[in-house]
Amino acid sequence: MKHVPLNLRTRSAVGLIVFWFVVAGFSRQLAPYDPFKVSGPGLEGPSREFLFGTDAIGRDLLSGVVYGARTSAIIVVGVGIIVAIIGTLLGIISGYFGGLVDDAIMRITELFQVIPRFFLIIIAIAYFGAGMDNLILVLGFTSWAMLARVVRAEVLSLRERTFVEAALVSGASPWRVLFREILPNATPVIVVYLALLLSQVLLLEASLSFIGLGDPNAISWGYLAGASQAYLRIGWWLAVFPGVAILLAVLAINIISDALNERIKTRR
Amino acid sequence: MTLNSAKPLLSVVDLVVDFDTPRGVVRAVDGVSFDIWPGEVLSFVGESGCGKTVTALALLRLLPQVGAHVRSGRVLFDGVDLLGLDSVGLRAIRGKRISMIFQDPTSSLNPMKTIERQIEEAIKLHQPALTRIQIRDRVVHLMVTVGIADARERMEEYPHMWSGGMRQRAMIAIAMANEPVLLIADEPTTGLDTTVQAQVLDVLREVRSETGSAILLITHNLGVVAEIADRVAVIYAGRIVETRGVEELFARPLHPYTQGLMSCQPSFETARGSLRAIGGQPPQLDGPSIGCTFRDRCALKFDRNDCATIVPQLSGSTATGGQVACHAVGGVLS
Amino acid sequence: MKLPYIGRRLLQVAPTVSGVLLLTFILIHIAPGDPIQALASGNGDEDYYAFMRHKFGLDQPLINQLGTYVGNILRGDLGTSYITGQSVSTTIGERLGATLLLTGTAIIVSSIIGIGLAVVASLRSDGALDHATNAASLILYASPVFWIAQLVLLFLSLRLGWFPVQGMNSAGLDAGVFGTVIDTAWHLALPAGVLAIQEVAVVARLMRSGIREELGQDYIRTARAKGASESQVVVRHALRSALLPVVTVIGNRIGNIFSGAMVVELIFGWPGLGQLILSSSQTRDTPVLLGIFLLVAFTVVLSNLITDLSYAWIDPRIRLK
Repeated sequence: MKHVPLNLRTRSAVGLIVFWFVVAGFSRQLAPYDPFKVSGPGLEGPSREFLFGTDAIGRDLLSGVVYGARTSAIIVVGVGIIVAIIGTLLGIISGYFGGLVDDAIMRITELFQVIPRFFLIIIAIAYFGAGMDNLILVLGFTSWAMLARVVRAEVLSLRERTFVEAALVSGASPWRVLFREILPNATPVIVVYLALLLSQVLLLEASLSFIGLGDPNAISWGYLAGASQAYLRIGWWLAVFPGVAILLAVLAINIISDALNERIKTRR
Repeated sequence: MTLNSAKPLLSVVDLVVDFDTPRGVVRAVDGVSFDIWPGEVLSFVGESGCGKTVTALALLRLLPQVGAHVRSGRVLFDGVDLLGLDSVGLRAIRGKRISMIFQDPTSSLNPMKTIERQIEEAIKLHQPALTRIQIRDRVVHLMVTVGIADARERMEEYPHMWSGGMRQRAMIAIAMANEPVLLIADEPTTGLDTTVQAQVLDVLREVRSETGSAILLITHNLGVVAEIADRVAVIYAGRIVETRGVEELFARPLHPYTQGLMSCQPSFETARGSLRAIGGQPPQLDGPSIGCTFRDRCALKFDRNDCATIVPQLSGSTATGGQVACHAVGGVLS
Repeated sequence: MKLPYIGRRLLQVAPTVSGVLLLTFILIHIAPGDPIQALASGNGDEDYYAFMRHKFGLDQPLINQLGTYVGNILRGDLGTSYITGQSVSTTIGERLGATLLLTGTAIIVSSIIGIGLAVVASLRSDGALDHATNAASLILYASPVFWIAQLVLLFLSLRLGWFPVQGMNSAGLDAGVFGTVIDTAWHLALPAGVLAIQEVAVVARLMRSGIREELGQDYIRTARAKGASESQVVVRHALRSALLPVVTVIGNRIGNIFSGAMVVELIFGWPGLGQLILSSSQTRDTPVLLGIFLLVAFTVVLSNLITDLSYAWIDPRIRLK
């Protein structure tokens, strides 16, 4: 890909993502306090000592947000891997082989696009229990539909291109063509939509944690915001800061996805 | 033909239009001037891309809002410059005094509205005082005038249910809704079957004799010109290169480009072998023109420096007021 | 002429509905834990379990169980709540009205404002409104709905006191029918506004790009040539076609509005399904959760159907296809 200088918006977004993952990787070292322990007076507003203030029993909110960065990063990466595998595989098989296989896969894809994920996930958590692993699996297994459709469309259009036909005519096996010619060319589009999906997943996970269906043993941004609800009248900071963290993470992912999409469009 | 009227209906003076393209600014219309007289049929003839449609769209300021720039010129109508008119004044003229029909009646009609609603809109915009019954009668009358016999049965249908020729009749009905003094018809028969073409031309002739409207007819089809036009302006590369009365032009085309156009058109008189194309391509209109833009394709090979250095201007005057822009033949006229 | 299209579209509903039913059936059966033990809270003996299994048909082959399951649901029997013993349909029915009021208001308000914004933006030549809408939608799209709700509650209710903090009606209200409607509207304003504002951004952007595309069409030029003003051109001609993508989204996003509503209801103490979801998921009252899921899923299927049918109403060409 040709190197075009990134604009300020995209560069800030990349910077934010890097910052988020650094914080996630070193949350233990970076957090000023242990977010599970009482470190000061309860419900104290932002101060030099507690930059984001403290919660009802005196736990440091900044440390909570730092630990939350780790939780969301793990979920985004985990769900991202599952979604990328399912969505890409189903999309490729559907688009490349067509026929009955395509029909069957597309019906299932439509089903997963239609069903309200939030409610399905709530049932799944009720049946299988909350917890990071279950959450990642459930989010992953319900979020791939749009990616599969996009990959399928991309494969359909790439299949008609001359270089793919040339490879097929020269006797390359279909699987080889698929993984050597089609997949690499479909990658930018996959990344664009994967990013979009993951920003939705991040918001979905936040809402689930907000109503208390997240991993009970991990601190997440959504959980922090949910816990603030009872103290809204006295502790505005408890609601504001976790939300800002979610907003920035989602915004950064969306901006990068947009920028990449623009680049693909101008290249064509 | 009412060429002896004292004042022209519409005068275009030195119109220049530029277009932004990915490869830079292109001059689509390069200093076009002409008059249209009351009741006459003036025809613009030229290859596609020569600027004839752009000129017509520029008259009513219907060029795309982005990418098209009218650099200079005046369009005088009733003593007012349409190019400088405010939007209220312009709207009072559009569809009422001057109306327009377009090349593709399929895309030019709103697919979401019935034919009746679309004709009705043209009436309502300029005659708001009419009652619903009066408007409906007027719609039916217009449809019958343009040859839609079963108007009452078909007026509530949508454009996609109609044939191309019928759609173009509907477009003409819309254009004639307020009996304009000038009808601009941009390639009204292009894309239609030959028999349908003839029918549409008949309709145009009919409405003209009924309302006395002048018509500016844009076409690349000399057969259409011969059938209906009084006067012809031949356009090449954004300029009018020859303007003549129709009989005179067909009898004796002067400009080498006009001569080339004529020999491209098959007719019953032309022997099969003598049909030929004009060699070469129209010029890329992206720089300022130096000399005659036709000189590379010119069959006359008139060997004069002027052709390469001086842009030929319309000059001379035949008995009926014809003019030609050519260094080689311009002198013949005077 | 309309029937073939509608007929074919109706047929497409069947696979989706079966898919939803099959998916939930599979989910129930691969779930760990024994529903009978859960029902008896682990207090019964083997004979009791066997009796219950038989009673609920759990000793039948899977395919028969599937038949019973589907049959029950299609008859509107969603089972009974583990916790209250009340029928799930009744439990949901008691709270459905409030949620429908909230989501319905949000959909209608956001559609009207979003479309209006786009029309106004199309008539302004400077593009200032376009930039504002784009920036706003970027931010709103990235904001968690609970965060917007909490900020609004913090500022407009707690700080300024303009709106009530919790609930659907003021306590001890006795103001007659008209007064009650006003009071409900006042309570509804914030939660519905929060749900609507994200939608407004989506609708406005889609509508704007739709109008922009339509304005380039030939028939718009015809309208201008007739002497129509810019606002007449936009409202009478561009608007209708530009509605198509917006209608698609309103149908598709009903699921999102419902899930947003669950969270917003909790924050504003709105007595709808949100509270029920919260309590049922805390007590793992799966029949109730399943009932709500099926209800929302079928609502989405139904609204997609209505969306597609309204296509035919908006665009006469589709009726023929």
